[in-house]
Amino acid sequence: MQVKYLDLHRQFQDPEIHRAIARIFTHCQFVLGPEVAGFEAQFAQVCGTRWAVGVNSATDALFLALKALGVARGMKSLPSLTPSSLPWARLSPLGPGRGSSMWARTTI
Amino acid sequence: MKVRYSYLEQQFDDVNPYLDDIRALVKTGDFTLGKALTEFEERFADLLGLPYAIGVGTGTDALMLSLKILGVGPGDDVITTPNTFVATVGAIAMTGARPVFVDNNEEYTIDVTKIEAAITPRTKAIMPVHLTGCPAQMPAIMEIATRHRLIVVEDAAQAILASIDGQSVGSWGETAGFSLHPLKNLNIWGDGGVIVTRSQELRDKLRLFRNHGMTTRDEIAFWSHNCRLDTLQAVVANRLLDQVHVITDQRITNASRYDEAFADLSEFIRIPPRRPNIKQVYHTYVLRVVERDRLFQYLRGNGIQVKIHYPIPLHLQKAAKDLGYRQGQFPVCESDCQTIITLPVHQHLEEQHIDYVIDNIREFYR
Repeated sequence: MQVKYLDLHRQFQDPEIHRAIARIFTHCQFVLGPEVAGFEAQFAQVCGTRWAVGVNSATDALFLALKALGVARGMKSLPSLTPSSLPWARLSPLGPGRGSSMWARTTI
Repeated sequence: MKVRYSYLEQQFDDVNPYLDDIRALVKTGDFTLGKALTEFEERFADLLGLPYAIGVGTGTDALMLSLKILGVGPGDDVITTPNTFVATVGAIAMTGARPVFVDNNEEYTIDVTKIEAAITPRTKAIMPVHLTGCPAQMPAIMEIATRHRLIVVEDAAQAILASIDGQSVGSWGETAGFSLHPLKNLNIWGDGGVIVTRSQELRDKLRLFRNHGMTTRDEIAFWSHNCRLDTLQAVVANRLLDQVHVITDQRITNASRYDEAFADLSEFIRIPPRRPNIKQVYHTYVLRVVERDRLFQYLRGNGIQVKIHYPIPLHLQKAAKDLGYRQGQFPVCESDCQTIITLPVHQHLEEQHIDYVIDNIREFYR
C-alpha cells in the first residue's frame, strides 16, 4: 500500500473548482476582481475578522503586515496607518465588515 | 462601432487547450517551481537569445530583486524617468534606494543627454525603461554607465521582443525585468514576471532569492523573499510563447497603419521618431496630439477606448513628496502628460477598427 504525504490531484477533482475557474473567462479580470473580493470577504468571515487582504504568498502577508505597521528600517513610503485610516475601511464595495480589493486596483 | 482597448475575452475565447494543460499539471500536483516553470524559463531565454531567465512573481519583483541582488539598497540613488508605470519607481523605493529622475525624450525613453548631470557619488544604478515597447538608447546608456561604474537594470516590462540593431532588450544591462501581466504582449492569467541575465552567478543567486534563500528543502543560505512565478501561470505562458511572435508582428502592423495614416496630420499629431534600427513592439501606441482632452472625449464618445499612459508624472505624485521634486523640473514629461493619448493597437483589432479610429481622428481635426 502507498500512503501519500499529499494528494493534490485528488483534492482538485471537485468539478465546482473547475466551474469556478471557467467563470473567470466570462470577464477575464485576471488581476484582483470579483473572485478576489469574494474570497477576501469569505476568508475574513472564516477567521472572524473584519478584513482580509489577499496577497501573493504567506511570506508577503507577514512581510507587508510588518512594513505597514512601520516595523521595517527606513520605511517612509507608507504612512503610519491606524485602523480607521485604512483606505479599504472607506472604499469597500462590499460594505462595512467585509473584505475589499479596492486597495490596489490594477492600472491598465 | 466599438473599438475596445482590452482584448482578453477574444484572446481566450477558447480556453480549453489551456485548461487541458492545467489539468495535466494538477495530476502532477507540481504547483510550485517544477518542470513547467523550468521549460518556460528555458524557452523565454531562448526567445531573447540569452542564456538565463528566472520566473518571478511580478514584473515589479523582477526589478526589485534585480536591484537587491546587485547590492542596491539604502543610501544609494537609482536614476530613472518620471514618465513610467509606478512599478519602476516602486521597485527602486522598495530596496531602500532613492529614485532620481531624468526627463524623457521624444521616444518617451530616458533622455541620455541629461543622465550625467544627475549622477552623484550616491548614484549606484541606472534603470532605463523601454516604455511603450520602444527600446531606450542602450548603447549610449551603457557607455555612460561603464564610464561612471554604474549598474544597469533594464525595465523591459513593456518590451518583450523589442531590439536595437537586432540585439534584444534585456541583453544590455546586468539584468532586466519583464512583466507577464494580463495586458502585456506575452500575457498570463494573473501577475508574473521574468528576470533575464547573462551571468550564471546572478541566475543561481536569483533562484535562491525568489525562493526563501533555500538551497535545499532543509537548508537556508540567506533570508529572502518568496516571489516565484506560479507554476500554473508558467503552464499558461508556455502555450502563449508559441504565439508571441504573431502577436508582436500584428501589433507592429497595426502601428504602421496608424503611422502612415497620420503622417500628413503633423500640424495636430506628433508621431514619435521611428528609427530604422529599432524594433518597437507597441505594448502601447502613444501619440502627442493637439487638444488632447477634447479628442479623448470625442473618441470615447464614438466607442473608441483610448487611454492615457500616464496622466500624472511620478515626481508629482503624493508618494514622491519626500523626494522634493516640484512642477517644472521635467518639462518634456510634464508637457507629455497634457498631450499624450494611447490608441488601441492590440492584435485582435481588424483593419476596419483601425480605419474607424483613423477616420474619427481625421474628422476631429478637419
